[in-house]
Amino acid sequence: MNHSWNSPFFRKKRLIAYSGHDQIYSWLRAHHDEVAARVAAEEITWPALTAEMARHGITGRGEPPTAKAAAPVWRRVRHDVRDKRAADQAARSRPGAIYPSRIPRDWRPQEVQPSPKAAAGEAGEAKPYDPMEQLAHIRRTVGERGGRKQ
Amino acid sequence: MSTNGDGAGSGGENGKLDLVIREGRGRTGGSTGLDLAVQRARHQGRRVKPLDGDLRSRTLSLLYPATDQCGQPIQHGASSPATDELPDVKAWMSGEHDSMVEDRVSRVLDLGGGDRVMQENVRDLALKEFCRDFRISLTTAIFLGPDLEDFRHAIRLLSSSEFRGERTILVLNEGGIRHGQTTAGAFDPILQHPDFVAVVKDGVRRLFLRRLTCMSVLRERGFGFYDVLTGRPDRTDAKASPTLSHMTKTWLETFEREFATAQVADWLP
Repeated sequence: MNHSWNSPFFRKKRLIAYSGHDQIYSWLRAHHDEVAARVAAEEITWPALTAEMARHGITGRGEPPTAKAAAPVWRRVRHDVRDKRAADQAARSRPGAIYPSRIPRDWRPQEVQPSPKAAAGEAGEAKPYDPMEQLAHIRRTVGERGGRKQ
Repeated sequence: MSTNGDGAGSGGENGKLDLVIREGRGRTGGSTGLDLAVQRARHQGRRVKPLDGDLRSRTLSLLYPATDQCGQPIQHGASSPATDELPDVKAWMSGEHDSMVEDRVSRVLDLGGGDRVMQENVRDLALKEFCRDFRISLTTAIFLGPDLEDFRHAIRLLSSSEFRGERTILVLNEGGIRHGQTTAGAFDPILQHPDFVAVVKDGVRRLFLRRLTCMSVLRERGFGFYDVLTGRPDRTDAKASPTLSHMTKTWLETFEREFATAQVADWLP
């Protein structure tokens, strides 16, 4: 759908009251993904956005929201949402964080591939064959077996 | 040997089919080296058949008998020629080459002191071309003790145009040093020899096979090298002692590192 700046059409959502924050914060947080997408696409202006909030009955300190008041709140919302999602991701990555019954049926452990360097090192093929190094190696080995200090 | 070939994966299933030929003078530890190669491959699930062309010592035939006590054939037990007469040995080798192409099972061939046989075999069969045509990786392992005559013999072999394959390993066997010698003192004349430097520069790989002081105990009790690691009991149903296990484990680990450093692990069956 192609939104115009004066008809944002945000669906009404049940808002969560966040401690220490006003209704503008709650509304922006509830609509975070859609607001972020439309702001990034320059499909909406702050006056239109605050008009939409007012249409949803949102007030700031008892007054209809203004662009000047909403913009700094939006920065706070974006910061908080980013932190929350990072924390959620970290928690999900922790072994045992998800109950087995909640693990999707098609989940498979992530396959860890050894780095090419490590794999080559294990196979002894990390470096091209170097005859001089080979000579030095066997002389060193034989010397050590003979108790000679290298 | 207690580590038999039954049930192991085919040497050729993954396209890897190896023929390792041991050459060099007798009593330089070549049979022991091939025994290690066989046990290692079987431990890792690959089939290998020992070919014992050294009828004087018959080491591989004793370690890998072809039949059991009831006379029943043992799969991939050692094969050997009827006599050490040259025609018999050549016929036996030809038969084994044919079988190898058919069954795609890797072989290790002990030709202790049988260099003339090998030279004729290489010339008559065009062994290198045969192996290339049938996708067999041919590796020659020349075992050396500290005796300079062992080394001179090896150099004569390497100088022969009939001999040289693409993959050659010079194995310096610490087990061959005499009582009272130090390892360094015993092998220094070889390691410093200009011919040794020249052949290594020319692509011949070098390998140092450490002495395993409990080797005779393992043999007497019928232990394979890897049996002691897996806790398999000996003929009297007794397990290896911790010291025996530790010495063998350390020796095998050292050898694996040596394989990796010399970049020959892929050359073995």
